[in-house]
Amino acid sequence: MSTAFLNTATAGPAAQSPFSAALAQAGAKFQSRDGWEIATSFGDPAAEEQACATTVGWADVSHLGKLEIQGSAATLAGFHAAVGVTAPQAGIVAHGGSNRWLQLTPERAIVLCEPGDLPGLRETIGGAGVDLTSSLAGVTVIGPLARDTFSRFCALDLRERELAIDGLRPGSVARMPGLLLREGPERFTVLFGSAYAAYFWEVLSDAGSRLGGRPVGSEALNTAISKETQTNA
Amino acid sequence: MTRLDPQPAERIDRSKPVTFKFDGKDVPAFAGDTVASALIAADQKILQRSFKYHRPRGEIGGTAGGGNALVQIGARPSVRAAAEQVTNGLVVEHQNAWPSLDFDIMRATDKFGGPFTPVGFYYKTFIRPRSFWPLYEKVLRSAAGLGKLPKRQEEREWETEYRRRHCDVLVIGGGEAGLSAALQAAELGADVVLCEEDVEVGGARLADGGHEAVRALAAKAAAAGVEILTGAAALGYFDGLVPVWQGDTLHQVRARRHVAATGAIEQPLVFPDNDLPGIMLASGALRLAAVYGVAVGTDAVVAGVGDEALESALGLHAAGIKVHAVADLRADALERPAAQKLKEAGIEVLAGMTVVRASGNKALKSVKLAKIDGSGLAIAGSEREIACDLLGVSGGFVPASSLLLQAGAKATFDAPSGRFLAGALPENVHAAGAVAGDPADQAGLAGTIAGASAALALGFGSDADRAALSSAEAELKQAEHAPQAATPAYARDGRKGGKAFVDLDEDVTVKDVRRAADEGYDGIELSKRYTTVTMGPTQGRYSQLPAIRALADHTDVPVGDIGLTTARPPWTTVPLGALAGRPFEAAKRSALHSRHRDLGATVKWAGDWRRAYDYGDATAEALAVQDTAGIIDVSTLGKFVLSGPGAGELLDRLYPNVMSNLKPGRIRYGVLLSEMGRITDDGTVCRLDDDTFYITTTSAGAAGAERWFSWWLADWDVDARLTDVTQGLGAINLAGPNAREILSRVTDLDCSNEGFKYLDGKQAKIAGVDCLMLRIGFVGEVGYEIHCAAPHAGHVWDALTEAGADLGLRPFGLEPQRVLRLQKQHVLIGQDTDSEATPYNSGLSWMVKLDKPQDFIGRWALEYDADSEAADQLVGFTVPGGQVPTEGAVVAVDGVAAGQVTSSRHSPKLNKSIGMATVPTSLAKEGATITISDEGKTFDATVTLKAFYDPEGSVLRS
Amino acid sequence: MSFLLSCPNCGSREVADFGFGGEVSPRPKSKPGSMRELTKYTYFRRNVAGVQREWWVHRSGCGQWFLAERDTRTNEVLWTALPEDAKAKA
Repeated sequence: MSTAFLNTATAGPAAQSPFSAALAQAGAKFQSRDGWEIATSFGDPAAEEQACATTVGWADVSHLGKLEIQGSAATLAGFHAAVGVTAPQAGIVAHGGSNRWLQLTPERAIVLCEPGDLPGLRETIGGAGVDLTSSLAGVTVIGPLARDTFSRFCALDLRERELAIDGLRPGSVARMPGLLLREGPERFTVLFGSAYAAYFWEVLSDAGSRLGGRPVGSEALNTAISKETQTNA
Repeated sequence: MTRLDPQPAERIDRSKPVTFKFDGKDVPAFAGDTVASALIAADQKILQRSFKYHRPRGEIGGTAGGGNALVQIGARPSVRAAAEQVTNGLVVEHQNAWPSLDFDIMRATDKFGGPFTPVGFYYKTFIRPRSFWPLYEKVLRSAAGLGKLPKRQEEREWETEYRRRHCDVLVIGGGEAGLSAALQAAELGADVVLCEEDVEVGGARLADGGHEAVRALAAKAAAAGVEILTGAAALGYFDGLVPVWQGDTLHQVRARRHVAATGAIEQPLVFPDNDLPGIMLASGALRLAAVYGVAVGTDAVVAGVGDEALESALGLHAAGIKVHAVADLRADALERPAAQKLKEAGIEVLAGMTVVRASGNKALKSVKLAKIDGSGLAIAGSEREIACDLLGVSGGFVPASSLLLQAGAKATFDAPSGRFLAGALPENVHAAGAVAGDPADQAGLAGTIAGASAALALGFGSDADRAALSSAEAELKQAEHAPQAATPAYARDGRKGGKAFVDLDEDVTVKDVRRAADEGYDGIELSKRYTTVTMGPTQGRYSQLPAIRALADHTDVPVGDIGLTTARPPWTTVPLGALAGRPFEAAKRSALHSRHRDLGATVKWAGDWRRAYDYGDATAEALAVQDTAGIIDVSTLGKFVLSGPGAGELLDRLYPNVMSNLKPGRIRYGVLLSEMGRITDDGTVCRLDDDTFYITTTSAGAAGAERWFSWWLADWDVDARLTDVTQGLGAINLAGPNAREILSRVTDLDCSNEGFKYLDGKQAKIAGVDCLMLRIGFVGEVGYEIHCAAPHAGHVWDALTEAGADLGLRPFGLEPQRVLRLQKQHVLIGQDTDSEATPYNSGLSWMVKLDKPQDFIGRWALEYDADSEAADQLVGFTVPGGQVPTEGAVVAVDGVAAGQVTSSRHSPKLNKSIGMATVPTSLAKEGATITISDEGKTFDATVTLKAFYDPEGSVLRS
Repeated sequence: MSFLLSCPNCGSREVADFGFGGEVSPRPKSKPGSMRELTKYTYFRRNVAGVQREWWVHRSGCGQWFLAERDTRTNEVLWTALPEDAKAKA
């Protein structure tokens, strides 16, 4: 492969999130998972779960695998089966198992996957695509005030009527180019250029903490997501 | 205390006393009071001193939207007293008076000013001598001003929340029309926001007996889901985006439809001393009485030109204020029903009369009423002097149409009502109530129609709702305004003395407008700019008609033909702090940023990145690179992957040299050109395999290069794909005599000069991380630019640092890099080049391959350029005298500027002053002497065409 | 100025989301016959008060370059389309 240097998943050292300095400063506890140093909590999981349930919590999800695929519409269609999606549309996230296909333009898509799955996924599509895992930082914002939090720095219309679950909105977030996904009734994930991570952390913390929220680790995030699934079921 | 008996509509809670401070004294008030209502209730007649003449002034509007009195509240200057609710302990101070409101030294400018008073005085007087302006400015600023900015930055900081709100319908104005519109739209299913500038919704209905109904309407609208924002001023209409400022929050409301229900603003009358405290809009005095239980005075006279004045007089009487007389300029005023009611209440109505002078020292003591002739002059024998301490004036109405006009409506003059109405509205905008010319008794119906129209247009509602709208429209009566008297521009008695103001904000008098017209500023827009009429803090709310009338009268042009001045945002004054945004800069930082901080780097802006400028000792850092080794974080470089069968072709069409014949694993330097052959960016291209190229650009040029590449890709039919990986990769340049040894310690790759040649690009692991290494030499030493996924960049940096610890490796910043590259005369795009720079005048002619078959961007211009010699050349120079010229210093030929220094530094390695400069081509010869003129000093420099350091490049290739 | 523009891929966004590429001035098929002709193509624009065809890029979103027709007097955007789709529009 001629672009191995672009790959984040390696057998070598654990990858550092673009937020790592900000997370450490906020008191994160790290664990190594899937080749990444992941913030599992900020020392108070109960308070973190509480924030997700009553106000707003935000968690680093930069470790999500992101593979950019470009090609003619026909070329892209040829990859649908391998990724597990059928007829993805612009503006809507298509699911294929744990893979998610984000159709950005007729000739460009980003596939999100579990961090460890990217090399395998890439193999199934014949080595096509460019690994954008390290190019895009990601944050999940969850809680009853998640939408309010975004309204402080983002002009996108996130009302449920306009952006249903699995809706995808590429657009400006805190003056950066962003990709915003609605993943749950009160859960959004935004992907953006990783060099902005420290800046966006400041903006998000400023807005979210004024609304009573706090940063949360992967544990509290997973708990909140599982509760959300139960509520829906 | 001038608190009236409890009023049926009052919003104050007399069971909840509140105390605040005004100029150090305790002021009692009630919950629900505004600063203005509480101060007036406490008999504080003078609320501020005027802008220019320091005349005592009270409140003229009395409501939030209208408040004209400005006070200082804590660190906040120029807060509208009528828009601020009192709270316990609030600290309020007067503005623009010294030593006190009651006695202001600067009043002299009014009483004895003489030559200081005319309009244009400042423009004409303080321009000479020019150099004195800073002094003038200081004195003038402190003499004429509105409030004080806190001295300390921390006290000035303004904490504003920004909130984006999308909705279907935004209703601006919470009177009966606005509430009805909001309720109707919400009932049809629309997502509705309503904003009201006053502290409470209800508008005019609050003071005319309709308070219960309108408050019930508001409750119904809220229950229907309308988000009601009070104390919330719509600042402007920006292509459908309406910023609504509400205290500490700026709502940025994006609605699909807008309903303007902003009402109409009563206008003052113009007569001598029409600004005395105690003179108010009749509606303002009524509002204070009915809603706040405050009597502005105990003995009132009302003067007006239409029914509204009569109604206000009735209201004041009902509230318990003694009304001595009502002057109505209409000759047939006594026939009006309201006049009959006044008569029944024992109040004298003086038909055909108006006020021609007010008297009093610091507050109103009496008014003179009279019949007037066509010029506004009192008719002898008709005059009557009446003692009073409150004069309610009503000089007609101006619809508050500013937002409608900003949205694209054109104002048209409606002669019968004397109003400037917004004509045809843009498709997405509706209007209802007084702003649309609807009479008061039709406001509710008009609002319902506007709300239904907006919601139905957006697809809400059913056919039945559509039918209901049609019948409502049929029911709405055409506006029938009671006839108005032709209002004089300037009513006066025969006496001299007394200023007659058309604009209280800016202290503009009738005389000023006339003088301006005589000097040629005879259109309303010119008059506005010259006299500043309508440009003050109330945005012309109370001066629009008076200004137009004054100009119409003096220039003999009908009022309707004078027209309104252009409506511009903000419609309501807003602190700059509320617009400034949260204090965060959208900065990019490399994955290594925390390491630079830990190393004590001086961090500076470089484009939109934060970069390490140096680590405390730029000279030592530069020397280390040349003597041992250095590493620099170059993650900010633009980085792109270009792939596809057409990739080589695309590059050949965008670079002046040939890229398609580059062998995999090899690197070539290139510049990007505009159509005119001008250099826009530079960087390297490394071929990774047959179909894949890795491209770097400058840090600052990365975004532009991305747009440039993707634009041509969109326009041309080339089978290639671009991916921007700038932020995904860390990049570290390892350079210096020991660089090879250090690199070989952390990788299995053959790092020998044979195995890894200059301009080779190799992929291998460094400390377990997949890396691309480019052997290039921007800093002039053996160097390797190491690129890897950003999440591993820290690991690679640490591995290199460790491996080089015993070989003198040290990190170096941007500044030492600049010195090093200057020693090599490596052109820095944007520093050594400008928008006129081509390869031909920048020492890069070797790169242009006009013999290649492909057309490329810039080729045409370069072909034309190739026919003639460039006028200037970019060259290197040394300064024998050792001076380091300022970058930008002039290269002079025969005392005339003929070029400029683009870069200059002292080279620690060579111990020389070196630089680059553009010079006339005739001087671009090795050893030529150029003269540099730098901030008054002139010295010679010697042209050096080859690199100052390692001119043959043997070090680089070793 | 904050009018809305519809990205052919992403939908309606505020104009600040986009980069402006200027009015469409097609690149000549072959080298202009004189420097003057070249500068005319490079720098001269019609700059109409009315409807004109323009390049825009959704820089804060999908990154796509597209074409739009906009009334320069009112900022009303008549249509937007991907380059290949725009070719169909006369």
